[in-house]
Amino acid sequence: MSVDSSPVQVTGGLATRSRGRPDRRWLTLVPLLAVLILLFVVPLGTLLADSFGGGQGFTLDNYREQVTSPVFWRAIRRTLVIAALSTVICVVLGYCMAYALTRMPKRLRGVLLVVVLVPYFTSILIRSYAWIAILAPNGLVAGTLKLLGVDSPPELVFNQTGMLIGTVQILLPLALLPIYSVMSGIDRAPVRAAQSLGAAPAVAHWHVYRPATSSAVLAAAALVFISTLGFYVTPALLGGPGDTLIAQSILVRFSNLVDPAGAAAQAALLLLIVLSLFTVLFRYLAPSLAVEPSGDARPARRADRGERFDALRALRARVLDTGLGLAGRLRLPILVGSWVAGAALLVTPLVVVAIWSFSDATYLTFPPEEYSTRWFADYFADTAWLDSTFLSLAVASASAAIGVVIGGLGAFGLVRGPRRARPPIAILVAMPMIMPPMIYSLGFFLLVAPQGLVGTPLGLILPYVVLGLPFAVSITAAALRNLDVRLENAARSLGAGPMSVLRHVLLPALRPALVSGFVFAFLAAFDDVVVATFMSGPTAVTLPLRMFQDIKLEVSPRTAVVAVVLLGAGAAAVLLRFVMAWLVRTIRVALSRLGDS
Amino acid sequence: MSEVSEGVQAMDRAMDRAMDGAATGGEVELDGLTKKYGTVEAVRGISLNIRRGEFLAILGPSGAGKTTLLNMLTGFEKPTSGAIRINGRDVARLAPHKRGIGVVFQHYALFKHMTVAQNVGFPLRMRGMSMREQRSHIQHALELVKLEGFAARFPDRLSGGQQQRVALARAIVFRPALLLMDEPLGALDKRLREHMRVEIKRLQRNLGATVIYVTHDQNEALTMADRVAVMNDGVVEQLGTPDDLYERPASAFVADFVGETNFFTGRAVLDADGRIRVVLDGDRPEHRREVENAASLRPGSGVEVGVRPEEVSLLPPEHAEHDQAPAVLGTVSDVLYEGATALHVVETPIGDLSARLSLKNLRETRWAVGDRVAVHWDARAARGYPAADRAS
Ligand SMILES: Nc1ncnc2c1ncn2[C@@H]1O[C@H](COP(=O)(O)OP(=O)(O)OP(=O)(O)O)[C@@H](O)[C@H]1O
Ligand SMILES: [Mg+2]
Repeated sequence: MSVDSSPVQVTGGLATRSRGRPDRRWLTLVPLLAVLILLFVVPLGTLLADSFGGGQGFTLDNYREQVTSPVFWRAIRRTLVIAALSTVICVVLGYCMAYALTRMPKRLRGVLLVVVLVPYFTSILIRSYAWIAILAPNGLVAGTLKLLGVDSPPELVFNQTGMLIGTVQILLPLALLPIYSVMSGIDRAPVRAAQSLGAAPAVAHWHVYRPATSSAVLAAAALVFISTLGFYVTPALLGGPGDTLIAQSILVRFSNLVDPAGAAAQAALLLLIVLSLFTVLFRYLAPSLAVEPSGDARPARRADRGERFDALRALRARVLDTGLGLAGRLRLPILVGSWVAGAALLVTPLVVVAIWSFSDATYLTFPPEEYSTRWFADYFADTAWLDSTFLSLAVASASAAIGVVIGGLGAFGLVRGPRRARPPIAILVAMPMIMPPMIYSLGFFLLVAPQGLVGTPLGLILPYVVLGLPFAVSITAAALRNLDVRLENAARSLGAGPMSVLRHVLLPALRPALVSGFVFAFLAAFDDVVVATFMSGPTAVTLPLRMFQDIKLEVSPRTAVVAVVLLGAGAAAVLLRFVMAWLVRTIRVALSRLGDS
Repeated sequence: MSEVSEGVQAMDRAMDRAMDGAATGGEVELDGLTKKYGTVEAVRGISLNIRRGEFLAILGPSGAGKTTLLNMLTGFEKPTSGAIRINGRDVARLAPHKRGIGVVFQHYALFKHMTVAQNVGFPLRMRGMSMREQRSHIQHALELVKLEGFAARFPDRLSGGQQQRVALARAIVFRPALLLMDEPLGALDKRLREHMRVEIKRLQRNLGATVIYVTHDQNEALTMADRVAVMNDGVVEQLGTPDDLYERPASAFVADFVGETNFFTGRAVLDADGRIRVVLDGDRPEHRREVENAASLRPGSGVEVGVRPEEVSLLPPEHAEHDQAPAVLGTVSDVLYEGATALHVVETPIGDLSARLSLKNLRETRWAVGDRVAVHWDARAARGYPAADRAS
């Protein structure tokens, strides 16, 4: 090769990539898109098709029937009311708790974050079940009230009150965590500036600090509201017989009334509500779903609107002043109170479950009258329970592993692939996370029931892959975005092929993200009751489903035992990780010492 | 015409109502002000008086306690002990929002979600002024900082210097008696910084406000301030006018921190004539040198002598025994060209020293590396300090 001054030679260094192979990184998106389309979009399509009559020709009868049914409307109204109430409570409480967190010493902050995170990672089923032990007529609260001389305690569970308490407890971390993450990045200097300019602390907070959190607050509200719309387990366990929410109503249509088309129509209507909300709130939700926001996530700016409303404005200001004055004076009680209430709400269920698992009784009394480990012995001797445990572990691990591989590849394609494809794909990926599981499960069932997948492990694994994918993709994509693309380019320029780049650059850097993606995907599957309700068969009952059915039958300490076993296993896994890391370090040090001498 | 003056009068009436009539500069009195964080004493018993309409710069190295002092003035830190009086009123226990002090923060701390006009109007709004009344004040404040056309913009659409001026307008719009600035120009580039110095100074004169101005930058302090307080390790080392500070530094620390100084170690001796002179380490013992500030030295104890580089002159070696001030012989080891001046580093028995010579001086003789020279300075340009004086 002659090394003279041809123009190609001059730009050679820069031209390497385009002169080599064309950029094929988008190919890594293919498995992700294939899975999402085949296992997510098609089932929803099936659901819609069946709601319009399916193979029997187009009809609106199914919708007509639902829309004219007062029972259905009552379920919708009840759902919206519960969702609105839990949203308000979660967001207000979460806001106060998150703000208190940012104002406390680091050490305490760490402890309190654990108080939030441990319940967050604990199964929804177990947490809902714990509330029965707390709120039932011979549970913790009633017992305490009796000790205090209140003989007829209020009914707190198997009604909408219990449902609301359970829902708030479960969704509080979902509101608190995104608000906290935004708050911890807020500069306090403007708040001080506002104070120096004459604003009392609460006034400065309102005018300067709060606006900086408004996107996060809206996002949290949207997440809580949309999640509550699809809630099934908690209302089913804590609500009364007449308190069905929309997700239960769908299931009742499907299994009790054996009307799959009617159920599909109800599901489609719920889907419509969820999708409209999602569309309206997308720009606030985007950051919490780890989707790249398409536009400015800031609330629209309002320009000065002239002086015509001075009188109105003055009135508003007066009301605001009074409120903020009060809030300013009660600042400390409000913040401390929010944590007392929040921590009690979050932690009590876990403590109660732990104690209850050692109860000797066969029915619900809390605190237990006598203690024993008989329910543990019972669990470990019962092959049906053990089978379910192993089935759930296997199914959740398999789906999480598949999810991490497909999701990891997809995340790479999403972040490094063609820019224009990003927003639609990101939205598609986020969908399963906000989709009420009742809608999706029904659609999936309708699609695969004819294929004989129901009751097989594969029939469980496939939808679980879909449920886990959003976590795997969003966590890996976030890590990839923080990873300097020049690292990969440098490796390539040094002669590394795609496989070596993957092995030597990407995998080591992304390992923590892949691991946490796996954990989240695993938990999404391991926690599920709804998919299992449709897809389990006589020989394949998942652990959560078995627990759910057991609780519906009679409220015994058995589920508490399972919860303690699972929590113990989780804690042991975390502990083992630290011990292993410590061992490896110690051995390395010892070896290097040996080498030195 | 009458409409305009009516408007102005209305504005002033509204202002006076809102600001308790405190239109011009306040008098500030710090009395034994102390702040402890655990065992750390960030500010140690500072007492000083700041006159009405005065521009006081607080100059000091990182960690000297400048921000802590300012935070006590603004009310974001409670003093451990001591008093702060503004116009005779003790404000040490008063909440920040009740102090009525204008503050310009280091990174401006503008409200991102508000327009420039809303930012500037904020203190007025907090004082219950109606939108209508606010308008003219905002307009006036923006004119003062030359940002008339920017009222409807959001801060993130402004340059650094413009943001700085919005912060300034916001801090002066309610006519505070006292204006505090914590390194207000720290984030700007050099040219803009120099421009803003002039602007701030002009503004202060127009408003007649008392200003306390914290800075790292000695040029800023010397050019802008009426008086400068040099802080170190929680105390004020020296409080004086800029020329006081530069020409008569009270301690070795001040001499070192403000401008450049050559330091030589030596020993104080009591001469037969009853005057205290200094023998420098490495110098010939018969060279007993006179220094300024000799009264503060104890005979027999260690001394540091400071001489500014521009006070040092270099002569051919044959001039070594010249007049009454004895020279030191040395060798030029480096010449750094600086434009109007050239810095000459000279190795001598009393230590390395630098001499800053103007081009005018150099027209006659230029020195090159390796040249032997006789180093001179005027006795009035040398100041002696007790050797243990310097903290760091
Ligand atoms: N909240 C605090 N807790 C403990 N020590 C503090 C605190 N704030 C300041 N200090 C200490 O007080 C001393 C003075 O700090 P200060 O911030 O006032 O310095 P400064 O002169 O403003 O410095 P800089 O020029 O770097 O801003 C420092 O030693 C600092 O470590
Ligand atoms: Mg500081």
